[in-house]
Amino acid sequence: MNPFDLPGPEFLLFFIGLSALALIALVVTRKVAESSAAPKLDLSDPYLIACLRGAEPETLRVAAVSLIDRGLLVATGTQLQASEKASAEAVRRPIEKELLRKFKRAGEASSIFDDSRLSATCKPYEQTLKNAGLLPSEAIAGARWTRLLIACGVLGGVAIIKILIALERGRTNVWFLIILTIVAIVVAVKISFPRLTESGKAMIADLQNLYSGLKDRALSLRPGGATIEPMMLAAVFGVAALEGADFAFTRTLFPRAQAADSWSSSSTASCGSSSCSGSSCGSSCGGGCGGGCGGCGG
Amino acid sequence: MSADRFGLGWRPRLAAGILANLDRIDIVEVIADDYFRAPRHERRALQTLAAQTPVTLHGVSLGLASAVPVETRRLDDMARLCSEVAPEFWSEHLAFVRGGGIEIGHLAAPPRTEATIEGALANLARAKQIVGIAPQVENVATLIDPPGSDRDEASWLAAIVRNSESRLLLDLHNLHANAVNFNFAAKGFLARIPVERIATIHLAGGKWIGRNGAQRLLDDHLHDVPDPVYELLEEVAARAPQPLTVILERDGNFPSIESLLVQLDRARQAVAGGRARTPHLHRHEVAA
Amino acid sequence: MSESRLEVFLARIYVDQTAREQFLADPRGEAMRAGLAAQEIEQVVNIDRDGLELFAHSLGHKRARKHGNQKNQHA
Repeated sequence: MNPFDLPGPEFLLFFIGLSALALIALVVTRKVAESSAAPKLDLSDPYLIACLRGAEPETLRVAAVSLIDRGLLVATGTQLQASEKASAEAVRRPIEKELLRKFKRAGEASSIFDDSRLSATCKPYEQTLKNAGLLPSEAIAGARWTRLLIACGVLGGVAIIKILIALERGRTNVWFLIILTIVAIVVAVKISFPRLTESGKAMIADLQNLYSGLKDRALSLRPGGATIEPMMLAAVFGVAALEGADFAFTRTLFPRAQAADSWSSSSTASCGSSSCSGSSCGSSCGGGCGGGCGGCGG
Repeated sequence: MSADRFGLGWRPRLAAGILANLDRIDIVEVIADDYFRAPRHERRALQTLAAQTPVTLHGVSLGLASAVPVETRRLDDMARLCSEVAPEFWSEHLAFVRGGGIEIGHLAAPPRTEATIEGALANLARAKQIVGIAPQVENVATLIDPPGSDRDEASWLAAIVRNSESRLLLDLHNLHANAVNFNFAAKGFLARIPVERIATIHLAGGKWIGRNGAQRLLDDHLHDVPDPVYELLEEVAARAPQPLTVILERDGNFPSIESLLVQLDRARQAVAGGRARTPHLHRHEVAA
Repeated sequence: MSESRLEVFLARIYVDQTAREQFLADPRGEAMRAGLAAQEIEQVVNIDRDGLELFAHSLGHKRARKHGNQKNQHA
């Protein structure tokens, strides 16, 4: 049966089904095309992970918090200023050097999000992530556009043909079809350009799983920059994951981060078997008192 | 040409420190049993870990050194995980862990008899057949002189290693603990086992337990590596011509990651010292 | 063989306090009742008692710790 001969209501149902199929195909083909084996990343750099998880704003937040934690930036309310001992030579990374330069004089913390020089320091992280297939490269973006244009072409083409046939037959009630077509195209656009590739999403989920033990210990992490752990926690789970009075300044400086992180860090990395100590996960003797194969003296 | 490698046991508590210091860590050892029943996303995370650094899988519940065949389903679990993760190698213990439906809950030294040698060899052959590669086999520490034994540990261990395709994962703290607990010379033990079959070394620490007159050294993996173990490591490195993978195990009472890395550096020095004693044996480059 | 009587016997006295106490009170009798071979009986009669107590104690701690971890996990 020729679908274009379907009466109006039946054709609309057919078009809804076709749109659903097209949208599903868009998502599935994108996921398949953008999935690959996990790449090797420099996991000693919390800013790279922050950039993956939350793009430029998150990279800047984590960098600022890191400098505060190390005593190189001082937070007073919502303002930041470089401490007296801070100098660009004291830090290695360009993003840190730029933050210290910016806050030689006190300024609002929120100003970091509108600073073009700071933004430039995030570009190398984005490029590294694109090279690793975790953010869409130009080639991936091009492929996304191609898939979108094909889907929109099919939907738009079918709609136009039906509209022309309807008009030729003296039917002018084509507004439902036009609206449906617009809605389908808008949805197609929205689902075609997620910030991360499928590999990028998987990498974030995997990092949150691998670091889940860190999240479980959030309250016991000590400030002061002696270890990388607080900043890795912030990078992987968001600054809102830094709990306790020692990190209360993050909530004053970056209130928006708190709201975003409470959504984004509802991760799959709950207390998985690896973080709950192997001994608790069914292995008969897999787990000393701490999770390996050592004995237990009590 | 392969070089000696130095790594840490993967523990969630150490994750951030390990992943931030992969320039000082050549390999990580993951407890395989933690992942046999893990959901798919956790096993995928393990694959991601394996993309960051070489990984080995270390089993703790097969019970290979038993006169009883290991259940096929347990070997299937290991096979599946090895297939997903593609580890550098996998390893297990020469222990028995269950009997008569009772799970012992820890690695028990089996009676050292012809029956357990035969049983271990049969289990190792099946393990290789099902998993695809033979496991490295580890000596276990024991608080009890295994009852029913008709030979000593060195003879028993050597018989298994010489007659199987498995290479030896020599746990030096287990050796040290057994030596002090049962009054034999650890270096003499080294002279009686095929050191050329040693592929991997475990380092760990322990503590004394028990009452006066009945104290034993417990291999609890909760303490720093003691000096005698580094001495044994140097001794092994002097005798073994082949590259070694040295893994530091810590299961709890965690110090800073830097402290663990310092212990790993000391292991590097011990191996370098051993190699320097017998340069004619060593054609490979010691990792810097 | 599908079971090793000796391994079964050892597993029981390692894990089960009652079985261990019964064994220590009458090692030969318990070994005979477990169906061990003559040579095995002679060996377990001379068991390393200190090591047995320490090992059993250690296993008890490990089980208690594991049980505690599982309770926390499901809380």
